[in-house]
Amino acid sequence: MKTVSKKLSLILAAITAAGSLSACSDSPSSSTASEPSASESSAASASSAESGGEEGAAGVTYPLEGNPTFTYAIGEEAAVTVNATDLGATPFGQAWQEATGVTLEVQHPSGNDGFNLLFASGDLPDIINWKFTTYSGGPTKAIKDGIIYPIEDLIEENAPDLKAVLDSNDLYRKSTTSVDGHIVGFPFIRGSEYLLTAAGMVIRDDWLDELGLEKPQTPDELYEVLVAFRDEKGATIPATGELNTILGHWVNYGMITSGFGLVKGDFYQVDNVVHYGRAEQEYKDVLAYLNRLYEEKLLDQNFNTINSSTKDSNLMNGLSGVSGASVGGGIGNYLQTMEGKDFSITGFGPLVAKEGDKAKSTYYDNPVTGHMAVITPNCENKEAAAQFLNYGYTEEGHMLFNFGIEGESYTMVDGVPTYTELITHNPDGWTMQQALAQYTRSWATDAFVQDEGYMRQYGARPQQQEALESWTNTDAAKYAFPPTTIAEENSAEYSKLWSDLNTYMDEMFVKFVTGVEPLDKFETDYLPMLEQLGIDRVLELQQNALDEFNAR
Amino acid sequence: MPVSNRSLGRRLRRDFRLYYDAYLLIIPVVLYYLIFCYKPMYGVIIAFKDFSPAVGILGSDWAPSFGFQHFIDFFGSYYFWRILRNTIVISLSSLIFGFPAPIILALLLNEIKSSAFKRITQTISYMPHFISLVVVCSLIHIFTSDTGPVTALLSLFGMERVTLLSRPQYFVPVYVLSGIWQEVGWGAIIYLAAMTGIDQGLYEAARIDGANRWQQTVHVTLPGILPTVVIMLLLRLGSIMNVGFEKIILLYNSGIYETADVISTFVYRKGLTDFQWSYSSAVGLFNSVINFCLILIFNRVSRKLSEVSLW
Repeated sequence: MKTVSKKLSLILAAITAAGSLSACSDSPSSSTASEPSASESSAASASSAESGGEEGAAGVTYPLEGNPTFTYAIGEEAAVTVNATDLGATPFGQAWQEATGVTLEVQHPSGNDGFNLLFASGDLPDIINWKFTTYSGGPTKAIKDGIIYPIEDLIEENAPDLKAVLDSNDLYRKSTTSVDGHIVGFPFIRGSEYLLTAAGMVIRDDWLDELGLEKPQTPDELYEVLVAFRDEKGATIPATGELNTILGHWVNYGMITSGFGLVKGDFYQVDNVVHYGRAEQEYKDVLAYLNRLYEEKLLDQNFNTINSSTKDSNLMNGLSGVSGASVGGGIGNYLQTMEGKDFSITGFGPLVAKEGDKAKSTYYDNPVTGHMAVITPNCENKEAAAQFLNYGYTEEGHMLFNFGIEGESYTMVDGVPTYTELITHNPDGWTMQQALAQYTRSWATDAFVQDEGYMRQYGARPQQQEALESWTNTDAAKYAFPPTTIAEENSAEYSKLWSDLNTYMDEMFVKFVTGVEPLDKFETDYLPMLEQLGIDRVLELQQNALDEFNAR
Repeated sequence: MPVSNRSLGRRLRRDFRLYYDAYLLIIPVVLYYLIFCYKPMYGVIIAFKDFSPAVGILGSDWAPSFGFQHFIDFFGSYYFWRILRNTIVISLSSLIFGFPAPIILALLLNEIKSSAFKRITQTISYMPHFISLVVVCSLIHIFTSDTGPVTALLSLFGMERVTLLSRPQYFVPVYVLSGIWQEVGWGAIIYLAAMTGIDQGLYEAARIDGANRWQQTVHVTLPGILPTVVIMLLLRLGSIMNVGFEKIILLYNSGIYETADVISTFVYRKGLTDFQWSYSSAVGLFNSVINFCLILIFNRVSRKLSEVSLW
């Protein structure tokens, strides 16, 4: 026994030594991999000048020559992968590749974790399509970290259509520019005000009609409606929603907060001064209200443990009458699934303090959401990649991305592109979102300018039109917070502070609402703890970022 | 030991000549550890750096404070004591309640006379082990919701009907008990196997001496499986700080971080959702160091007390 263990320890020692050796020999390759970007970029600009000469300033000719192949990473989209192996295999993906003369190898990392692993691995695909404002330090840091290859050298020659779009609107240009002046990539742009609000409060309007009630406008009216739903309609969970609906939508986007004089739970600005809603005194009234709904079992007792599919089924099974949802993936899907049954659902405006007031905020996207397709330093043919991504902003590309293939997924009716039955009433029983996902990118966040015509048809049902109308009449634009970037030297500090703060605030939200912590701790514990965790510093850094953004 | 005066190299060479076939056999295992366990290990140095994927592991700058900035930040963090406490509470209660459970089940099964009944019981009890953790956690969510059967049962004993996983005080019991439910049958198999190895003559002798069933269990069966129990305990102690992190991720929510957030889930959130690679590596390394110290201590204690040890 003893000799065995001695031998074993010898072997172990040898292994340890060998392990550390192999580690050292391994290192040079990983450290040099990202360095040659400087020499590469000069070569790149030389060759782009050549190709530019051939094509002239008129634009890029499609399909591209030489059939370039790109690896392409885009977040997992359930509506795509439910009916196709990946984006490249959809009818849209096929048409896109054919039109541009490009072969795509698509990968779908799942969630932010997936992208994080992709970045940390160092093995980057040629093109990444992701919400880069999520990256710690934003796109600016991602450029420094060697994940993004900025395109200011490429855009003139290889992406003239993108350039035209960015030049047309100051906000588009600012939102696509890094702190140090690089052009980051190919952004997703919501092309009209009409597209900025896609979600809001929803309610069973058929129940309202039966009970002879009006749509609620104030917190008290909503309370009464919920009581009526519980007592008269047998709704056991009158208001449902997972944490993302209740905290993310109702509070952080501000769907109920105007009822208590708070703009929203998230960052907002008043005359270019940064505020954070969940650190304001008015937030306490929001919590008190939600706590009351929870205690009286009007609010979902499981809101912090369920997921969104439970919310969907609660609404469709008649257990619930109020929630938050989007116009297409929410209301549209519910109505389509429940077609022919005794079911109707629509939207109602964000709550306000007094009937007739205008809400200060609601779900309101920036026109440039932060989603963008970027070229990575790993890409060998950056000009071709830029030309390829430019396609989404051309006239042809605009039609393909928004409406799909003419004659198949849309036809021109009186000069207006109109989705065919294949999309609106799919023969395979797909929801409209699933059908759109196979033939278009209109519903997703990709490198193109989204067209209002998509939403006009996607939200064509009267209940959806009604929802959009009630959601959009707000002052949200006045308080909206643009996609700022924290200065690079502060980004590590910011993300450390922010992640602790965010954890604490999320935790306390749940505790206050469920009554685990009494509300008088709001002043005695909660606000002081925010101070201690550095909320003032966070606001200061965001203020600097906002000033910097405005000065771009 | 007559070999003490020879050099290591000569002894190795001689040993290799004698047992070259045994060395050949171990090569794949050694390679496995080299490639999959030791080579990736050099990556822990990012815990002492400000890792940036662009410049790679070795190219990244060292963190301030001689590389220890991330550790200093962690020890000073608001959440440090909480996640350390939760990690210890969850793993100790899993150990205290979870470790004896399969032994007790095995002893009970051992007493069953009808072999058909015994087999059926055993099969049913280890069935949950084969259910995917994701499914198990969904089941737990449903059973412990305010309308779930577990909550309904508990309400008969006067407990309020609330979603158990939305209350900090219920997380540890739910976690530990569901863990026992899932693993008790599977864990009992090894002890049942150890029991079959006990000499039947010992039972016979005990019976002749007038021992009843209980005395036979205490004086024959238990000592018979004791070495197995100790080895299992040691193996278990080595991973005491590695609480079932996937299961916690699947069960917890921000409302119960107070009791449910442990070091590994903290590492996951910092590293994979907040992009603080170096910081989360530092926290993970801290966890591993504690684990390593614990197994050293327990191994030593065990060698002193029972003369059974891992090395």
